[in-house]
Amino acid sequence: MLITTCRRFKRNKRGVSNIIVVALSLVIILAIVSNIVLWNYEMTQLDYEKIKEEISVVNVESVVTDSPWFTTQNEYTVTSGTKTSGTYVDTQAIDTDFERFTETTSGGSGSTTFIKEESFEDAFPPKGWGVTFGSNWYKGNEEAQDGKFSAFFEGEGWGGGGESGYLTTPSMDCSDAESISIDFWWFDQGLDYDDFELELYDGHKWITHQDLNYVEYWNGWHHYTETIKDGHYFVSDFQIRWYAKTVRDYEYAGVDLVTVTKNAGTASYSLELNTSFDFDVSEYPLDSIQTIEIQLSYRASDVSENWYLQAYNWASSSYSDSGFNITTGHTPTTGWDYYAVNLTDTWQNYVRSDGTINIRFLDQNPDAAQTTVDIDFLGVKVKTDGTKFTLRNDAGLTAHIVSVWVINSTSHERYDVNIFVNPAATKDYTQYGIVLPEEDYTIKVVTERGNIAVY
Amino acid sequence: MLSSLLLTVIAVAGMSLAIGATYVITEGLHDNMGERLLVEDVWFTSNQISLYVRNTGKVAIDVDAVYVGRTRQSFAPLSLEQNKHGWLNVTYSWGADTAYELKIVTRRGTIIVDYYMSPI
Repeated sequence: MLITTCRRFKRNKRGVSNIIVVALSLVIILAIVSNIVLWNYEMTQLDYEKIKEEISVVNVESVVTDSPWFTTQNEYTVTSGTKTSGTYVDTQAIDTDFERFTETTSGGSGSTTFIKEESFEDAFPPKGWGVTFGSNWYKGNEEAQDGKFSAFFEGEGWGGGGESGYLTTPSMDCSDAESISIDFWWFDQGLDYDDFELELYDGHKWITHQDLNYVEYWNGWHHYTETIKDGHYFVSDFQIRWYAKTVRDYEYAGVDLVTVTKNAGTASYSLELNTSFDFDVSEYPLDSIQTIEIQLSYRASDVSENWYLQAYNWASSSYSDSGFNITTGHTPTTGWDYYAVNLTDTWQNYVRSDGTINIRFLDQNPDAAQTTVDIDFLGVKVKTDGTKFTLRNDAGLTAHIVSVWVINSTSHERYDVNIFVNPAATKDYTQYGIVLPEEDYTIKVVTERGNIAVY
Repeated sequence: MLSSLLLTVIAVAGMSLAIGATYVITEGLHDNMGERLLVEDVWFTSNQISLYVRNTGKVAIDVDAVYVGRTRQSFAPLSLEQNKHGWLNVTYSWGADTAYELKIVTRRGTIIVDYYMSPI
């Protein structure tokens, strides 16, 4: 069949031009169909949907609305203190995650107890301590000021002989000390002058500090306490030792309940955090804001000081809480606490024209207690004048509202919106920043298909 | 043989012209049919009538003429892409509490016309 057809074409040369004409005619028809017929159908459908649309404005009323919480989008700037764990993301929602900060000191480090009431009850010598190898220092239970045992030295020999040996504390870093407190009990059984001496190490050499028998000379336990203020001993490897010296038969020396404390000046721990919040002024116009609220959910490890929320006053270029509803700070309970402040009508001072608010969280005053603060949530909320529209769609098609007009005799204000109202549904929609005029007004809502509903 | 070739060339050339003409004509019709516009609002201000126009059609539009009554008025040029909107400001000294027939004509010839009352 195909061969026969080809032979016919070969015989009739005009067949080729006929095919070209037919083929290109089909192209023309295709162009007409796609450009006109289908397009006409599409536009007719558009018009049909527009005709079928039935949107109406049921009610319009003024409302004061709260924005969602705006949270920080950057890590906190720690001006004083240190971040211990977590990130700023943990402070964006009230949940189980939190960011932890710890106060740091800007003064001394306070008091540090190196040896606390050592009474030699366990292994002897205690860890870090030393005794002269082979000497007569031992863990004795003959006499004890505290517990059952004490460090004891038994004399030996008679006449001019006797035993000697040292009981030495661990090395203690007193390089930043302002004073060193030494407190211990010592035992005297028949000791003579120069038999039992207290020596101190100044980083280079041992110095005989006190012949204990010059302080107390009768038998029994004696309490020794002294605060050393000689800077000579404020070294990084300060040590104390007791020197039992030529102690003879029937003479005993003992040491018990030793406490050594360094005082490195008054500690002044503080914490100060800064961060910024931004809200969209196109969505929350500044001229429709009534006030701003700041809320903090936090946990502080001590209750001895108040904590403050402040905002940066762009007019005075300083942080302040002037005009806030609460200016006395918040006293923590050591559990999770909510602390919220309202900027009242002074909020304008604290908001930059682009919607930026800088917030500072800080303690009342530097103090001696090092506090840990966990922040679970910190957010800023805008309370705005707005208008609530109640829209009803009576059609079987979803209506897309694209603009709202508020019209009165002196102004025609248009607002871009993006509201979808389902078929046969009523929807409340609140638009921030729309302030209804006090005099008569007209509301128009415009759909994407080109219908207008009037209220 | 030569006559057949000549006939083929004539057929191709003729149909090409026909296709070109069809394309131009249908494209124009296509755009004309795709034009829709809506006057969202009309605001009578001092010596000016402002119409807020939204392009609700499927093609871009250019406003070619604005008539108040039967008289063509000067206006700030306005072109709107699909789904775009803007003010069409017409210079006109209007009178209070009067009905005005406002007609917008696009470059492709689409006309929308309505009556609007000026404020008292």
